[in-house]
Amino acid sequence: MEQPTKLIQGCIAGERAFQTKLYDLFAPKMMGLCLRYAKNWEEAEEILHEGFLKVFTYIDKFKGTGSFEGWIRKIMVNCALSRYRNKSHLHPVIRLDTLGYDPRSETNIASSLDTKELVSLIQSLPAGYRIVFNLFVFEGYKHREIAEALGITEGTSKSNLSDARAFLQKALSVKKTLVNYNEA
Amino acid sequence: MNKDLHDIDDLFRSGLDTYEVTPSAGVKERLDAELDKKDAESYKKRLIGWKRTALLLLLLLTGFIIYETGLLKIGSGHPGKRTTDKQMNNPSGEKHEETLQNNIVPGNTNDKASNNDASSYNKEAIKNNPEKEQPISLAGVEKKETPGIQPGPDKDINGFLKTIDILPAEKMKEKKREFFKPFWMMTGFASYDQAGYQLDSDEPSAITSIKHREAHEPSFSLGFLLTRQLTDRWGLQSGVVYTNTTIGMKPQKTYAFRDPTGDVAYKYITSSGYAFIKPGFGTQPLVGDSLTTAEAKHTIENITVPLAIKYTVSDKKISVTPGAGIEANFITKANLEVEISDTANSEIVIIRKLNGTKSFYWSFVADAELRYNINKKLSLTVRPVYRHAISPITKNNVVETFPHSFGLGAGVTIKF
Repeated sequence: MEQPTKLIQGCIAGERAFQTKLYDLFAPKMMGLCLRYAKNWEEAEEILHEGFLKVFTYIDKFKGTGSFEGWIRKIMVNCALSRYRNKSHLHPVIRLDTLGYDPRSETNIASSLDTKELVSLIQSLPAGYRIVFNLFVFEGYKHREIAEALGITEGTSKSNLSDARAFLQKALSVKKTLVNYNEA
Repeated sequence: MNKDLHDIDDLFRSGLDTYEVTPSAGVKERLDAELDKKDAESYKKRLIGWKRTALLLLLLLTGFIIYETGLLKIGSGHPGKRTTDKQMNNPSGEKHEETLQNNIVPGNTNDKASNNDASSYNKEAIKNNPEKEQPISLAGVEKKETPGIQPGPDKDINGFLKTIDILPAEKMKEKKREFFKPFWMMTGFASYDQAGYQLDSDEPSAITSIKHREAHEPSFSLGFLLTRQLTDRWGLQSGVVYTNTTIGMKPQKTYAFRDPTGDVAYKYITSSGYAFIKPGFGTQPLVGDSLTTAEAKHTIENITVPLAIKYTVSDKKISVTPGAGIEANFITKANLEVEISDTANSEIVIIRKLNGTKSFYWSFVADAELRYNINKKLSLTVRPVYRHAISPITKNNVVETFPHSFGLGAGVTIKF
């Protein structure tokens, strides 16, 4: 995507019309991102609001070397993370054995689900799992980077990711059962 | 299993990476409201900057006007210029300026030689140009009272008086001022101060939180002020003042952050800056850990150099000298003493230097010295003073802090 240079310059000048254009251009994409990090719609909107406020406040700090969308995305992720930097949120809160989960028994049924349901599944994850899953899968962070960003150990990051995957597999399995039951 | 796990990663990634959804209109409305608020704050900050600049310029301008109008004559030999009102009425536009140095009788009225010089200058001027009104020295006007000064042969003293617009009463006052001999005064004092601060921040909750947990304790200042009395009314004052301000801090919860060195420590925030606290007991904290501290004490010490314009109203025994000016403040110490404990351990941590505290700031000062003259040299002084910072004492802190204080001081003034 080409850098929206004029938009950026207008926003640096504090022109409200340019700020609105920038918001309209990026808000849907960023709302999709925020929904994945938040536990519900309201929280996602709070993150989005906070993120755009930072974007407009610090837009003069954007050096133009990387992608502008990437810069906004990073701000949104940081806003989301700042809500969960309390360590208690990030520790494992469920145990796999209580889920009765066996990943080998699962098949890929997620393709039958729409994006809203996928978002809903991620939102149903405990905060610690949701954040680590998002950072690993969508932002491409390594466990070392996740540990650094969240102030947890690499072991906790790995454990959270593994449990998040297991949780999602289990949730998908339940969905599949329900779908099969409804179809029958 | 690994394949299944990666499958689920890919599945979510492909399903949601490009996921877009329009947020509700309320988000944009709230954002606009916040941006409006920020614009207003930014405008207010710019306005404060202009106000400070205007204040400084006003002080400089006042000083300049006082100097130029001749109210301040530094010493009897100062070449301050004085122009009679007659010049204003001179249709030819010719300037008739004369220096006080050359045409006004110096401080010593018995200085015959000087009086004769002034007198002879006037005679010469009148002889050379008898038709023109001549610039008149006050020495000439006072001829009848001052031996050695004679009016010119072509005009008598009444003629001279017609040429100037100065009334006799003003003339006498003027003469008295010209005979004033500048002197120095030094005041040593100690003051009880009630300090406070004005906090500015983009986060109103930060202001509320800091105000809730901090309470100023009685503070004090000590110092000496040196005043150069330039006329019987006006003077300039400077000096050195040491100020000690103490703030009591209520117990509070602190959270662990990564400090600038990369270590994780508990961040303790105050109105003057922040400190990273690393307990000597327990395990190394992780980012997000919390620690509740006990009551703490925060002390700020300043060395202040004021520069103020003073105006004196006096009779024989009592004089009142109000004044206003600016102060350069050097923060020499901003420390924090806090007690931390867990179930088994307790420790008092002393932070000698806070982060986010500036080493220098400007302030405005207004005071009124009330002096009781014991004798010609010595007087007792009472000095109420108000000062307010015009630049913040913090940088990169959650709040911008502008300290202010009201003090009541007492001391002794020596004239020399």
